[in-house]
Amino acid sequence: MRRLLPRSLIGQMALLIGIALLVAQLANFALTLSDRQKLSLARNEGPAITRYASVAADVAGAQPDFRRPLVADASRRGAQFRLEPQSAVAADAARAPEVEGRVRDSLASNGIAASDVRAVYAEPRGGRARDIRILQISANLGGAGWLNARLATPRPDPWLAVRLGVATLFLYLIVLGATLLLAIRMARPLRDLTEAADRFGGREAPLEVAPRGPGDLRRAIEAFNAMNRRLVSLLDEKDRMLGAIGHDLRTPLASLRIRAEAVEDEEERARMAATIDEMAAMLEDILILARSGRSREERRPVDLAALADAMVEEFRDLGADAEMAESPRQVAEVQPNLVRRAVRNLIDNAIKYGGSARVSVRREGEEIIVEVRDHGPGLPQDELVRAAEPFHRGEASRSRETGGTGLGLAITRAVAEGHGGALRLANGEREGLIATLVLPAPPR
Amino acid sequence: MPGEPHILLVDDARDIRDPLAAYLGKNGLRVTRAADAAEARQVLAAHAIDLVLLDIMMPGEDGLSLAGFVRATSGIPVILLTAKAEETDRIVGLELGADDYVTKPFSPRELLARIKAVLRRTGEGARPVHAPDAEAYAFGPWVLRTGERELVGEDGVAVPLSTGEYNLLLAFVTHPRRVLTRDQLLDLSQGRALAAFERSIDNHVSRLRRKIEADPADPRWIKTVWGGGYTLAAEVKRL
Repeated sequence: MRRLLPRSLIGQMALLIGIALLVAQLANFALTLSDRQKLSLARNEGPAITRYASVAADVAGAQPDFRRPLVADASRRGAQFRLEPQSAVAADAARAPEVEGRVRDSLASNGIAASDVRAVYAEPRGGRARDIRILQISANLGGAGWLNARLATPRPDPWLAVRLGVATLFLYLIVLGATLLLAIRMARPLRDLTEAADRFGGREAPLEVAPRGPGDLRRAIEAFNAMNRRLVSLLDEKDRMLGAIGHDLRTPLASLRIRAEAVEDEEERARMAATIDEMAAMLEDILILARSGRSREERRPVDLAALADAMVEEFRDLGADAEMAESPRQVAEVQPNLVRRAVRNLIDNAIKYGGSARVSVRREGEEIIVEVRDHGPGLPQDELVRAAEPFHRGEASRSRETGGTGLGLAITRAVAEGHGGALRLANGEREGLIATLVLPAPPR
Repeated sequence: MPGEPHILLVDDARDIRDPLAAYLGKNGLRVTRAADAAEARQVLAAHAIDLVLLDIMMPGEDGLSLAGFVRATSGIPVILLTAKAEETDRIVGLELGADDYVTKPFSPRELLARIKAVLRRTGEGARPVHAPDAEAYAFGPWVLRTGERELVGEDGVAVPLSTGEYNLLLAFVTHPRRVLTRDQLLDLSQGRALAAFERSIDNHVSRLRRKIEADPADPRWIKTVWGGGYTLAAEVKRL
């Protein structure tokens, strides 16, 4: 049931207003119809009933001998009166109780208490007049017998209900239509706003949503646009600052590196060079991590299996124990340089901490999995969660000795998340760490 | 002092310019310093320079523009000093054909070795192999893009290459339809003087074939020449 209810603003508004309006209009229709019917009764049958009552009063008040001529005299201009011992209307005919009630009232107001009143509609004899029908009234006047009358009355408008119904429906459609129009005018800009907020990655120029719809919405959209512009300019400023820091720190580092070459003691010189290199690497990692969310690199379709294979090959060229499992082609739209770095960091980690790297690429459902296994000791459970936090270093045994900036996994995770994927860390069944870079696969 | 190669060092940072000039001077090179592009142009006009060491990021006219000027007006080799590794691959590969580059902070010894390697190559009149002369090379169904160092297939999907594979393929596409011996290939693909490239050419060829051949067992593009070496059996179009 819940699934059938619309969730969107426009759907809910349309449903609610549609139902409420329907109920209100139906009630209104019923009331109006009954009113109009009463009115029509008073206008069409009223004169006939009054005439009948006045004739009945005359008859009841006259001497018995004068009754017949009186009745005969009254029978003119579309009316026919008769005094008879029986009613002309059968007791079980399709009687008109409303008319009977009115006749009774009218008789009572003329001082006549009729013991039985019957009324029924009949078609005129010969069926000539379309707009005329016959009202048969019959009342038991006690001693005088039954006064039977056939009175011509205007036929009520047969299309009354239909005309009223059409008018009601027309009104219903107009109001509902106007409501829907308003709802659509509100829903469209809201949808635009949602889409823009969804797409906003801080990478590109600020996304401008065209302000439209009612004034309040317009203002909300303009405020959103202004916020976007402020955000983008803040992020731009961050980029410029990081770039400046990177450049400004690199120059003194380079200077230091050159001067270090003048140190006489060879061992000391090597150590200084290593420290400077480490600082430079850390600087680069910080810059990459800080910019990873806003890399301007374009996404292109890339064979991720070949990419992982090329990275493994680079490590093998350096003499590291890295191996690529036979992996079929897996194409995805990615930022190749960032993904390269993400994969390189995983392999680098595996070799540093686990002594070796076994890399494979495969597709699992809607995901492309780049898996890097090592033969090391793996990680304790709580470390698995924290390992990808920036600047996180493992226990003492895995700390500075092995070098590295503590940013490798953080960069990989940032790259994965920037692509809508994830970094997963798990321990192997028997040994080693399994680090998986998960990227969304294109639809098959 | 005749015989000493004359190096022009252009860098806006005095902290680098001075100690680097001192280091290179101590190692048998004659160094003239310039703080910006304008000064460098004056030096180039007045002296016979053998090699230009050029910082990319400089205020005023930047290093790229100066490198383009040097390339266009003379055969003087250029080595770039850069701050950002990722961007440089592209810059070097695509626009300039600089002979080599180092990323700051660099080891002065490595820089010295590269300077000597570049000087040796230019002295022999050999084209610097590190510098591709086009943005991309098309052969068969493939396009080798030098900026990104990757192969792009007809379906637009990029196939990343390792440095070794890239260098080897670059050697093939710059010498199409020529039989290249293993030694020649080794020479050609060791563009960067110190790049480790110890594994055999055969190994790299078979890796390349796996990536580019429909049937690696019956190669259509990289053919083995009996007793000779390998050849790229395709028309290569420079893009």
